[in-house]
Amino acid sequence: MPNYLFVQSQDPYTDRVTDDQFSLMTQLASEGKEVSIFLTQNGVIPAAFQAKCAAFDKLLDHTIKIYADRFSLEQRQIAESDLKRNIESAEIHVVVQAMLAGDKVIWN
Amino acid sequence: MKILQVIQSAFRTLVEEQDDTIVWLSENLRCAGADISVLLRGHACLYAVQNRVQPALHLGDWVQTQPADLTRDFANLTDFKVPVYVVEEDLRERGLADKKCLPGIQVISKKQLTEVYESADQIWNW
Amino acid sequence: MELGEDMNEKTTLTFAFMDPPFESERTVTFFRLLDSALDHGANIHVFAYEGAVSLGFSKQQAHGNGMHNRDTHEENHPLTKDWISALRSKADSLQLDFNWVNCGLCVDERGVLESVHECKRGSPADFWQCAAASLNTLVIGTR
Repeated sequence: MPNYLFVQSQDPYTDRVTDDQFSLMTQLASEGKEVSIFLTQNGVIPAAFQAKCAAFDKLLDHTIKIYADRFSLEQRQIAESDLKRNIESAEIHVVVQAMLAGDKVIWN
Repeated sequence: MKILQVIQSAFRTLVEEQDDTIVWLSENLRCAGADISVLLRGHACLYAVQNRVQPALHLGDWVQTQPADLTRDFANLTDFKVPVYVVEEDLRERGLADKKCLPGIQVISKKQLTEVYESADQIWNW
Repeated sequence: MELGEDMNEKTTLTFAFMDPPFESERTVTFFRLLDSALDHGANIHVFAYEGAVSLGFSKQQAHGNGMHNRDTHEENHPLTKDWISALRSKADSLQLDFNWVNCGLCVDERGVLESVHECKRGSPADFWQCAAASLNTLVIGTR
């Protein structure tokens, strides 16, 4: 069964549509689907430890693997040690690997 | 291979392209043989309740003669047997829940999205 | 459009993109994905839709930056047409296929008729043909 990888470029501070995007991710995860998120661009901003974002933080309570694009983090000077729990910095290869694994890769 | 076309961006190209370019693309993909379904999310839910041709733009003495016609385009998709879904909660949030949807458009709940996503092999989120 | 005859359908990835150069961070991420796909040994097919057909416009020109006291050469301004060429060269060196198709109608309405040679003209039917023959497809819509 293919897994889901969401490439999350939109961020909840500026894009209210992320409410629905995050809601879909947690719904799929709650129903037993394997869901991962690759945060990129401004999508990495709520991943910082001190970022206040309740909508994003709810994702951390689910069995969703969250990666943060190392390049985007470096651009925004968010250190790996500054990331919230259960978030791992990663190269963009994660996205290509998911594509090659036949996962459903969805760009937000 | 089943493809779910997710349309979230709405009204972006209706004037300049005289089409929603993703609805247009969906019609083309279907004609090319693709097995697609369409999901309207966010403001794209307004497409589901359109009942007339778009207004024609006038700029100076330039007048648009072929404004977009979403009612025609969704009728085409229905004729092509393309399932089109719109989310009830999106309509409700925008005060559209009581409006009549275009023929062939299925209103689903957010809870039903899992089934829609699971039934597709690939999700193309435009 | 003709697909590369030796495209191995098992390891071909298709990408659809919509943004023009210089207007969105998505453009950079898209090119990084193509580069990564080549690193993973994947043949690549790109369908450039709408604004993305300008990515390969051959008349893009670099310029200097007076604010930073750099002339054209020093500024070495990124141009997406060069990125396309660079990725095509990388694909060639890795014996991978790199096919870039611009949506023809999108090219016409934008007047970007002169593309670098790596970009071919096509249609949504070509996009479907390639996606159907690929292992997976990623669509990056515009906002």
